[in-house]
Amino acid sequence: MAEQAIPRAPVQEGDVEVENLSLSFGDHVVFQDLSCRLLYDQITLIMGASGCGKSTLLRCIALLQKISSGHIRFGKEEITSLAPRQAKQFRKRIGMMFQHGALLDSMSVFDNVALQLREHTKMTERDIADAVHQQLESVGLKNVDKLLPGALSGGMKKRVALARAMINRPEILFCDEPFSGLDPLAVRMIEALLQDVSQSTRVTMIITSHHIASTLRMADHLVYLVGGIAISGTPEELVRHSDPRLRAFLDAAKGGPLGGSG
Amino acid sequence: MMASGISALGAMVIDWIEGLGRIVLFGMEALGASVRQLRPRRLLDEIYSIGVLSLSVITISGAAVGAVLGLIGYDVLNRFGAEQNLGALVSIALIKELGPVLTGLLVAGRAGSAVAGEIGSMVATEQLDGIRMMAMDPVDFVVAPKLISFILVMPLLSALFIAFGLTGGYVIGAQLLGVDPGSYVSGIETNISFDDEVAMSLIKAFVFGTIVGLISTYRGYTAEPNVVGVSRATTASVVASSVCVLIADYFVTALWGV
Repeated sequence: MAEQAIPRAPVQEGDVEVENLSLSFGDHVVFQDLSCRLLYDQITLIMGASGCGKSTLLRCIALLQKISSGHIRFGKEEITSLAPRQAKQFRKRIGMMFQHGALLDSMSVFDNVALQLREHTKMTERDIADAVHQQLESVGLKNVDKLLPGALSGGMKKRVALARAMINRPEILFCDEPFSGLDPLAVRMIEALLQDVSQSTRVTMIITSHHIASTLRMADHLVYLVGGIAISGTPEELVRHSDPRLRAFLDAAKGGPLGGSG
Repeated sequence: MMASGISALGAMVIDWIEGLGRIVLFGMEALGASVRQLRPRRLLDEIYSIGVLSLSVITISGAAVGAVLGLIGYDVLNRFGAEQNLGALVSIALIKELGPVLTGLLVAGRAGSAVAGEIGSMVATEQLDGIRMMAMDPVDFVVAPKLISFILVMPLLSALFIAFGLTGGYVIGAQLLGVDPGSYVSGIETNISFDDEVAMSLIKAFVFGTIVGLISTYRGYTAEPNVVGVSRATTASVVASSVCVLIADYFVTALWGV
């Protein structure tokens, strides 16, 4: 999968550069020479039809999935060849909001969010409590400390997951399908939260989604994955793009049974 | 035909040895993690869920097995006029064999399956990936406390099983069938020594705890990330743990020189 030719700016510190990435599961080829760039301090949305490899690409960049060949760089640092210990250090610089939250079922909301601070800092319990409450309030949650994740709604789980991902002030935030399974109001709420986070923290945000309406509203930069190529650009550029598969994808989203997706 | 059969057998053996190697490495990683960083709070939580929550199963089963031993033992010994040796028979059977083995099997069925299911569900719902993304190691954070708990808890549960078994045998033998209570207790005292029976019992329980803990955590950790995978991991954990406990029981008994 190669990136369609677009003019390229020089790599900035904090850009994520994917070069000639290949990945197969047995005979099933997921990526074949995929190249794309995810830009520093911007919201990049990776979109495409179900099964095109959006979440897998995210997992590759987060070093959760081994790749067959290729390179992934964070700034100028090659991260695909990091040893386990270095990969652990790298992950301290990133946060991830999983599709279904991936909150630890056996721990309360408070403990889920506090976990990283307890593990990686020498903060006192009082300071940790302050930081956790502040983080939970920033995603619009109060009085949920003692609840277990099983007692939360889908939207609340996503907000707790966002709070957990942001608690250690990451340089990159990955969000895997943050709008899936949510009602339109919850979609708007998560969308606003992500935009707030982006503006207030200058985090590089990489989001996978096939929720076109939200995607076009909030993305600074888009990467569209479709059989064989990755098409990148600003939302305006992609809306005007001539590739028929991209056109069909966008038209289908606009002209769906509900005339859009929220 | 024969060559392909031999080849398939060879492949199976190699697969089995590779699997054994992986599980041993996994266990060493988990034990190494616990040595590097003991997590007392998580360890206590696991001791509670693996040990304390198994208490009712262990005590009821222990009493029932002891009662059955009392009944059958009395019947057999009575034929030789040796019913006063009931205490010795029940205690040796429970301490050297039935206590640790049945505790191992019961814990594999209750706690082992629960642990395999829990870790498998964590794989399926990306919770282990969530831990990795927080720059933590799931083997260290999730697996190690569970494995250590199995190893610590099994000898204690086995001792409890034996205590309730001896009580069950006493109630049936001494209270119901008329064996002299003093003979029952002195039969235990004179035939059980710490260096032989009790030490063997403790070693068996320790080995079975390691086996059940290792297999159940490994099966959960390597489960396919879907509902079927979790279900398979749970079943495989119970089956493999039970079979391995019985095989290990033979080897420990034989090596002990019985």
